Amino acid sequence: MTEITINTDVLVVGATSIGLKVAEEVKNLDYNVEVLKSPQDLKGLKGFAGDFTATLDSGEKKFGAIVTATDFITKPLFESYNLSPNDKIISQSDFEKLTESDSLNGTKSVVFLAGFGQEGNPLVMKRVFKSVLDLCELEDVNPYVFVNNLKVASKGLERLYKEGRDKGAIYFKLLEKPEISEDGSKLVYMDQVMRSEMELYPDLVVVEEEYVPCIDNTNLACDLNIKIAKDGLLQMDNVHRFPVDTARKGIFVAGTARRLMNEDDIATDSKVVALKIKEFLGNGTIEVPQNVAVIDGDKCAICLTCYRCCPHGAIYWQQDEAVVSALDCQACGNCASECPQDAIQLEDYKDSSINSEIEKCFADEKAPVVAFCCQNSAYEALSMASEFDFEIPESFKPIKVPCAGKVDADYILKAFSKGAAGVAVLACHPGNCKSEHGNTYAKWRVEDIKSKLEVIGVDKERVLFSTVASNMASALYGTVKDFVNKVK
Amino acid sequence: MNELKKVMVIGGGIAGLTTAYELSLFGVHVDLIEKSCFLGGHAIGYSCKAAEECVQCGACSVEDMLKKVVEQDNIDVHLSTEITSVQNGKTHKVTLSKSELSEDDKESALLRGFSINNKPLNVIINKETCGSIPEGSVDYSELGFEGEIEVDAVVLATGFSAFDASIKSQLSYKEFDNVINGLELEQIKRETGKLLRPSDGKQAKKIAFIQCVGSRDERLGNLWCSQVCCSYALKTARSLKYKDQELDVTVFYMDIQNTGRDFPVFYEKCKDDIKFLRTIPADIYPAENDDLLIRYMVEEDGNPANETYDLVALSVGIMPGDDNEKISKLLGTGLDSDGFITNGGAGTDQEGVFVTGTATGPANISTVIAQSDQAACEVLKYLGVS
Ligand SMILES: Cc1cc2nc3c(=O)[nH]c(=O)nc-3n(C[C@H](O)[C@H](O)[C@H](O)COP(=O)(O)OP(=O)(O)OC[C@H]3O[C@@H](n4cnc5c(N)ncnc54)[C@H](O)[C@@H]3O)c2cc1C
Ligand code: SF4
Ligand code: SF4
Ligand code: SF4
Ligand code: SF4
Repeated sequence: MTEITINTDVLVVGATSIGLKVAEEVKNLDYNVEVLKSPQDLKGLKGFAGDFTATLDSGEKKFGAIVTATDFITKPLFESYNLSPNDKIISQSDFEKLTESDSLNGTKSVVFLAGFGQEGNPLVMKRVFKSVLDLCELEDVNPYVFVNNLKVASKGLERLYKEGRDKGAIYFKLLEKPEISEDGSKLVYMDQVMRSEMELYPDLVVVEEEYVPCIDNTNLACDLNIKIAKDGLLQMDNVHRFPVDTARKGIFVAGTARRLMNEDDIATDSKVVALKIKEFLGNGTIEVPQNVAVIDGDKCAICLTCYRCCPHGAIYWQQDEAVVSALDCQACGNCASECPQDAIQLEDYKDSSINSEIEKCFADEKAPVVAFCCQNSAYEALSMASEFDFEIPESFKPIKVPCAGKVDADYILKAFSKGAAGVAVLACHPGNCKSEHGNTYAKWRVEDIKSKLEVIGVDKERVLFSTVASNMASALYGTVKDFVNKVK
Repeated sequence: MNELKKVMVIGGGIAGLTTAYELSLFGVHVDLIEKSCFLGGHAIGYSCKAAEECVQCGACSVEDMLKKVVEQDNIDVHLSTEITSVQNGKTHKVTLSKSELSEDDKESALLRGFSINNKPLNVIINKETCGSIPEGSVDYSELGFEGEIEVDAVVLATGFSAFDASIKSQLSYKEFDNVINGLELEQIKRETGKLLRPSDGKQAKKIAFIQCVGSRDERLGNLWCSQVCCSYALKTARSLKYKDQELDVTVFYMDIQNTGRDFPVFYEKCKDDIKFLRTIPADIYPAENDDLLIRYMVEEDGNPANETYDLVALSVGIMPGDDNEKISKLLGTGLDSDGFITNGGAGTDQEGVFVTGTATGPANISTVIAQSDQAACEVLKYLGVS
């Protein structure tokens, strides 16, 4: 093992509630921290874990780790209710300002609307509950809440809800939003107890707000060379990233940059990030892993394929050849199976050793079923199935791979050329791949091979792509049994 | 070099596993105390809930974490062990002794863990009735630790108890074979990959989920939402439906809670696959073929209705752990009015004692993992480990 020295300064992107808390925690660990006020202050990022170079207004600066700490913004949902704001129709935020400044005098009845403009969440709900309680403090005010699903899945909310009701607030739980006149002076709704249409004439209508991820997330993801999730957040919704990881080493995602959360969760997250940073940066020396991808510069044709397909941002350019950053490489092998020049080998899973594994499948079986099993899912499930007395057929020969994305089309063809009855590629479920898209690549390759097999007259049903979770011995057994029965 | 620090983690569910693992990465020696014969807690027995894609239920992350923990040299695992007394001071002197088996387990011949990472995987309770003994089995008499261990800090991670549905007699749990709770549902699905009826082992074709069993119940004084049961019920329902398009699923509910980041999209898919009835059933009666008749009130018109199902799953909630009271007394930590252990950001009322996971209140696996990282962070700070 070689040890190298890394930079231990930390860059926090976003002077948000979470950003400032993270900065404080990390400072307590005796690392230098720089906080950027907004993601826009980051003009570019190069380099790798332990050795990032960020372009800032003040010039270039080195960091060992980066923390993204963007926030949500709130947007009132007037439109979803076909309303426009006026002095009788206001947003939740504006209502909170009114309460704070004691400006509700004379208001007799207040209607809150929540859960019809959006599904909602406990954060939105809590604000309504709190506002209701504030109103209950005033004399002669009647709060009415029209709500679809009460989002109470957070500490203390059910109690807060009950408190408001005990103090006289009236809740209408409806599946459809009430009819509201344009000026907000009249509401028509279906009463669940009376089972008839009722009318209400409020003095004030308070409209819910939705939380929208920071719009700068898109550019930030691009600068950091990480993927942005469908919902605009900086962490893919993948359990392998829990709690604060991204696909790239040394880049963390904190608090509201990864999901909507309350202040308690934000405080928790700041500690989590601190822990992970401490784990990564340590005392500034780090062991370089040996079992990583290695590129043969002589073979490399500089086609950029590996750079594009590496899920962990571990490949860079140096003097006309692609190079792997050993600290960042997570040894998934996706690059190796995509490289058109076969220029990349993974230390622990060289082509030569996988080929000899394929040979071994034929040692005691003329027409085995060769199965490439991802070590993160199928291989685990298979070991479990054998241990738990599921009878895996003798002819089923598993070969462990680091990720289904490592399965080269050549491996599958080789197995067939030796006379395999069938070939299976068993991967993680979509959205559960440790290397983001290894399972998707594997699936594409299998589909591609199916069409090629048809051309040479091999039944395409003899190749299988299937997904499974590591803990599902029973599911894996079902898949294996069905496939072996079909091809044998 | 830091002087070697020792921490005791009590409870080997995902909370305890995560805390123990994180601490071990910093060279801390961990004694992990688990009352049952196996590590992993409730969640090690859960089933994958993926349909066309992973739904982030977190069950496989527990598997992952268990594997990491058993591979770690500086974690000593003590199974079938619980604490009997504690002397708090600058250090904590904890007396441990072998724990009792649960009533159900006492009757068994052989207990088996849920995961191959459970070491041992098989525990022999009664050699005589055991029949064939799997290789590598350990006799129950060999488990358990008796004695005192002195540590620099203690982390409580004793988890929750699932609501005992037999308390609500109208639901007829334990009376009829085909009324099962969420944990049993997980287990059946995990072991067989399908949903088989306990009464006859036939695949269920028409099932009902009843939400909020034990939670959000004023009469029981349980004024909290368990936060996980909408999620596990809907995800399980969809994953079953994905495999069997013919399956008929109804969910009786009060409010549907968000199940994850993609909830709005997920909920729309659920609405295509599942019938949602916003009402909590009044009674469950037996019907022909071990089926069950559910009587409920129709929300729209207030009229009573009856419907027959061949399996009913009760979405039981997260209740304070059975040992919370005892353990909070032993360790000198507080209990909140609901019976969960009070925590102020992983710390407790007692110096050097920390708490994480569902011991402090309802939470799902991913939240528990974050809480446990936080606890590890606080413990390291307290111990001055750098
Ligand atoms: C039916 C059901 C389905 C669920 N499905 C999901 C899901 O799909 N996804 C999700 O995220 N969450 C789910 N949850 C929630 C999930 O179970 C919890 O988040 C998780 O198990 C909490 O972990 P824990 O470590 O805090 O507690 P536990 O899992 O309860 O672990 C506590 C451990 O401590 C041990 N222990 C207890 N007392 C003592 C003692 N005195 N001494 C020593 N050891 C002790 C116990 O034996 C146990 O091993 C579900 C919950 C239920 C009820
Ligand atoms: S994919 Fe292969 S040939 Fe292309 S740049 Fe990478 S190493 Fe070179
Ligand atoms: S093995 Fe995986 S992580 Fe490493 S360089 Fe190749 S694609 Fe990237
Ligand atoms: S659904 Fe749950 S168990 Fe299945 S792969 Fe996703 S997180 Fe893992
Ligand atoms: S999560 Fe759903 S089922 Fe569970 S207590 Fe909350 S509302 Fe009820």
